[in-house]
Amino acid sequence: MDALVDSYLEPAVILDQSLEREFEQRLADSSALAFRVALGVLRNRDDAEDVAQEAFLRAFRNFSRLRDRDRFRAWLVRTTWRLALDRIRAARRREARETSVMMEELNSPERTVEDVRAAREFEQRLVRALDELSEKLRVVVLLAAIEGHDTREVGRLLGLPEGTVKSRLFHARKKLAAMLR
Amino acid sequence: MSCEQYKSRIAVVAAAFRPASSTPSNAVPDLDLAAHLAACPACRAEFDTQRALLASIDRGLASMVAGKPAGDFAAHVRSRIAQEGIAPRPWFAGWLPVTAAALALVVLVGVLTIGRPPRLPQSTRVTPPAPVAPAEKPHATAPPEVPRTEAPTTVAAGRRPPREGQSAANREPEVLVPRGEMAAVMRLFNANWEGKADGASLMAAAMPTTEILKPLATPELKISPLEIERLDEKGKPKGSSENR
Ligand SMILES: [Zn+2]
Repeated sequence: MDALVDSYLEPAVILDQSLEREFEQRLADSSALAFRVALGVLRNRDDAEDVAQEAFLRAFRNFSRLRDRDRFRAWLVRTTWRLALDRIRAARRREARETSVMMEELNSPERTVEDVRAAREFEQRLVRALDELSEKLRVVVLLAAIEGHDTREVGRLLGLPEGTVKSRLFHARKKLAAMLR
Repeated sequence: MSCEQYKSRIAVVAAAFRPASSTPSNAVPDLDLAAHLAACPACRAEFDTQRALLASIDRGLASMVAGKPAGDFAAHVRSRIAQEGIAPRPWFAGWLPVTAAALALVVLVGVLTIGRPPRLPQSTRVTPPAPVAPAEKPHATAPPEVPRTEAPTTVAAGRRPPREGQSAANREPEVLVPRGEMAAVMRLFNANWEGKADGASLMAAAMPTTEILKPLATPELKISPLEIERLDEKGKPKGSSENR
C-alpha cells in the first residue's frame, strides 16, 4: 500500500526527501571536520563554528551535485578553508583572537605554572611558524593533525595523491622544526 | 663524515618520522646515520631533541584542530537554511552560466561572420574553368579546388596563404598596415561603413575598440545569463517563494 502511495508521489518530492535525509547524514558525520578545519585557521571556536555553518549552508545549496560522500567532504574542506581565510583576513584588525584553544588541555592538574607559561609561549611561536608556511603546506599539516586522519584521508580530502601529501607533510614539519628550534 | 654533516640528515630523518615520539632511534632507516647515532652521544642527543621538538609540534597542531562543534550545530544549520530559504539547486545549475556563455559566444561568432562587410558580388567571382578533359582524369572525385594551388599569389610575403575554398580573386584585397596605424585605419573603415566620414573624430587619439567595432555589436549580444541564474536561485521557477 505504501509502495502504491509512493509511486503516486511526485518524483521531485521523493528526490527532495532523500536529498534532505542524505544531507542530515552529512551534517552528522562531517560537521566536526568542517569545524576543525575552520578552527585550524581561525583558532577561535565561535568564529570556527560560524564559518563551518556557513560552509554547510553552501553545501546544502549545492547538494544535488555533492551527494557522493567523498566528494562532499572534499568540497566541504575546500569551502570551509576558503571561508575561514576570508574571515581571518577580515578579523586581522580585530586582535581579540583567542589563541588559547590549546590552553584547555593544558589545564590538567599536574602542570605547573611554569609548564603552562612555556607551553603558551611555544603555542604562540607555533602559530607564527604555521603562518609562515605556504598555504598548500599549511592545509596539509592541519588536515593531517586532525584526529583519525592519515595521509590517505588527507589525499582524498584534497584530491591529491598520497605521495604528494606525504612529501608536503614532511617538508612542512621540517620547516616548522627549523623555525621553532 | 663529521657531526656537522650528520646534523642536516638528523633534521631530515626526524621530520620524516610520524608520530615523532613513537619511533625508537634504532629504527632510523638511514643505516649510516643509525650507526653514527649509536656511536656519537652528541648526535644522539641532537636527534632526541629534534624528535622531541617534532613531537611538541605534532601535539600543538593536533590541539589546534581538536574539539567538536557545539551540540546545537546541526540545529543552527537547519534553522539558518529555513530562515534564508535555501534550497538545493538542481545539479545542472552550475552548467547553465557556462552553457549560456558558450551560446553567447556562438551568437557572437555568428554575428561577426554575418556582419562582415560584403564581399565582391557573386557574379564577379572567378568560376573555375570547365574541366578540360574530365574523362582523362583517373580520379574523377578530385576536388575542383586542387588547381587553385597554382593560382598566382598576390599576398604579401609573410602573410598566410589563401584559405581553403577562397580563390585569390574573390578574397578581399589585403593591405599591410603598420601596427600603430591599425586603430586609425579601423576608424576610417568605420566612418566609411556608416557613411559619415567625420574628420574631427578621425583625428581623435585613442578610441576604444568597442567603438571601432561598433557596427558589429548587435543587440543579440546582450543575451544575459543572469536571467537564467535568477531562475535557479531557489531551484524553482522565478516567483515561487516557497520555503523549505
Ligand atoms: Zn656525531
